[in-house]
Amino acid sequence: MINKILRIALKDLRILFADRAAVLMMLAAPLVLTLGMGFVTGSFSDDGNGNSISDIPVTVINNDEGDFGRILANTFAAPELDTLFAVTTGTDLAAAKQAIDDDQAAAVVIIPAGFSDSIMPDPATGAVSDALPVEVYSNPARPISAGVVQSIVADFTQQVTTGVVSGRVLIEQMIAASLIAPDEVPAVAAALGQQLQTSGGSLNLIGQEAPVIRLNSAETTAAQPDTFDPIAFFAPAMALLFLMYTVTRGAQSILTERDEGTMSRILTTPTSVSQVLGGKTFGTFLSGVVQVGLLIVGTAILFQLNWGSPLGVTLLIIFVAAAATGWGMLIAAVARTPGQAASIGTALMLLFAILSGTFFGPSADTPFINILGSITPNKWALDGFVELASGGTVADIVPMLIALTIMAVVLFVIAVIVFSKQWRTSR
Amino acid sequence: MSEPILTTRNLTRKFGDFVAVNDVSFSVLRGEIFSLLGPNGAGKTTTISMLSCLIAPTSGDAAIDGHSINGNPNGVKNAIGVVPQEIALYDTLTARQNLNFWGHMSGMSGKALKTRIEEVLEQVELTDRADDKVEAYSGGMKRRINIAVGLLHKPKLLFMDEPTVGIDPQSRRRILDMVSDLRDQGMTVLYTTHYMEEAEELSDRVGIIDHGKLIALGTQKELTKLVGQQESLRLHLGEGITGESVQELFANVDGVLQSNALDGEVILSVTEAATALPGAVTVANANNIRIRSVDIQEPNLEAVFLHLTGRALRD
Ligand SMILES: Nc1ncnc2c1ncn2[C@@H]1O[C@H](COP(=O)(O)OP(=O)(O)OP(=O)(O)O)[C@@H](O)[C@H]1O
Ligand SMILES: [Mg+2]
Repeated sequence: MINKILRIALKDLRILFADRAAVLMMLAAPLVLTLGMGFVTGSFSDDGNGNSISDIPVTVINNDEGDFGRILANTFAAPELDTLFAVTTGTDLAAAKQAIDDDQAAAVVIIPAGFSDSIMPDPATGAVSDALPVEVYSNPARPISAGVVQSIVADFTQQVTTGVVSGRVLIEQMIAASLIAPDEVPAVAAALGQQLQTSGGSLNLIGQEAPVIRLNSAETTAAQPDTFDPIAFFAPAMALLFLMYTVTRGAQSILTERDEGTMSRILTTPTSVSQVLGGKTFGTFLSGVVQVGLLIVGTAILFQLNWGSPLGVTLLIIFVAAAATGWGMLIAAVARTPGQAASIGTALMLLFAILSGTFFGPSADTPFINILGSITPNKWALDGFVELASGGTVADIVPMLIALTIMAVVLFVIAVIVFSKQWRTSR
Repeated sequence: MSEPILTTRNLTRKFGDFVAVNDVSFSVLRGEIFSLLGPNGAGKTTTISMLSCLIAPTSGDAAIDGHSINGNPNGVKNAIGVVPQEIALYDTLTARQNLNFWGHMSGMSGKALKTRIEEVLEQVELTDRADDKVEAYSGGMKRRINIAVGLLHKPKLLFMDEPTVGIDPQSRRRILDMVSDLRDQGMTVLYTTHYMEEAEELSDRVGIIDHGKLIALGTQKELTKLVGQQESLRLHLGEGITGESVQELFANVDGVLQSNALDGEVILSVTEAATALPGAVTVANANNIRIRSVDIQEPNLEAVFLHLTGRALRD
């Protein structure tokens, strides 16, 4: 009984994934579109494998008179980083923030006045105060680019701080050991400071970290947390869009098998109608699970996307594939020909995408769409995936799982009723 | 060879008001090849569909291997193998993948299935192409794999619904030889066709079906007796010699019952070939018609069908 259902399902899986056109639509298309959405939203700015980001627009406002400010500012224009950044030197903070709002810049780096002095030991006493923080305003729409800028600044200040702290420790130790007299401190400190500057802020001595950098997010743009990557929205959105393609193929294959006589032939073997339909349904479901699963693994590798709780992600895949399969079976039940199924499926695929806000991005908030979107498996699953990617747990996606279950059950019941009516009249 | 494996009783199927199969009763004996011979639309496929439990009879019943098609479809399905008229395979799978799938549907599995797949591939002579996708096959090869699927589980009764339709003469020959081999191996076959020659060559017994009715049933000998002691004289004339006048000329020859002129030939139904032939030759000479050759044919199923329906088997 179960064996035959499984055989039919695996046969369908094999046929579907051996079809190059189908694989293009199920796997290649969502990946390419995710990539495309990544560009549009500035998550990447390159040829798209996410590894070779280039020409990140960054504005550096250097209010510091000293050497450290200059070194940091020059870091972004250094020959090694030449292709990575497109640096603009600015003086006007307001203008720079505007550039972020206009999506002209990925980040603004503000080196405060007196930054170098705050790092250098006091020439008189040798004492070092806490360094003034370098501020980075990042563009939330370009989290990856902004992240690169932040990491450069963090790296720089880390090195400088390490050097300074090491220097301080060194001087203190020297005083304690009476190696130098207190009045010699300024000279030693100056010498150390010189060394720090020429080595670009690194002294190879053990030191501690001091909080010299504070990261700010520009508050004027969309209200997304700085850590949320739009790709974490678009990757599941596109996967779900093309999940509807896959279940439509499942619907089509039911009607094709009916038209081409393979379904009848199965029924001349000791196999029941419910086994055949069960097998077709399960095959469609499996295809959906495999497709979305592959896309999730694929995007996790290609875009370094963190999908969140593996258990939660697995559950969501299974439940949304079931709900989408329900829609597929309904299509198969109402369509008269494979061509009709394809048309209905394509229409639903686009309709569901629009209703679930697939093309609008994570920040879209239209009440009309939110209500209608609830009939789509896309919306519930999308909410779930976004929740998980933002650190949510399985408990957080329980409402989505329940909604998808209800959807699957209702659709299957309707499909079975329609199917059995058709079967009775045809026999 | 005496006891029937299949018995139908007043099998009838209507589509709306149209009666596709009308009160059909016959038996197929174990080990025989039984042909249902009939023109397009006669009701052959509809009969096979009822016997393989795909559609329910409007009335009547049939028992296969002791199971009623109405009462115990699963018992029936276990006993039969079906080779449908329309090729029913998965085009984008290979022959071997198809056989593997269909084997599982027939309840086979594991090593037994594997061995059996190789056997039937040998049988239909497609072992070397077994790992090609079916979509790359010629029409004849597809027909052969279509047959192989029906043979997989060694059914007690095999339905073959016009298995040679639409293929070249060479492939057809191959398939007819395969069916003969099946008979030699003791398989029972219910074979449908609209080719008289196939029914004559293959079958132990023939049922002639027309407009849903079984109009005659028996061995070839029994059936040809129905048309009496008739023989046919086939006169091959020059090309272009045809027409009613020629037909008329020969119709008046002594011993000729019926005359039919085709392109370049005349077919005469005669009581006895030996007595009618001299007269025919005389008439031809008198009218300057050259007879190139003459065939004398024993009564055949074509003649039977003509006799019973007044129509040719092929339209
Ligand atoms: N599902 C159906 N609905 C209505 N009429 C049908 C249906 N199936 C068959 N028929 C009609 O029943 C008659 C017998 O059809 P069937 O297919 O059994 O003939 P056949 O002997 O197999 O012919 P062929 O040699 O063309 O295959 C035909 O007139 C056909 O149009
Ligand atoms: Mg037919």
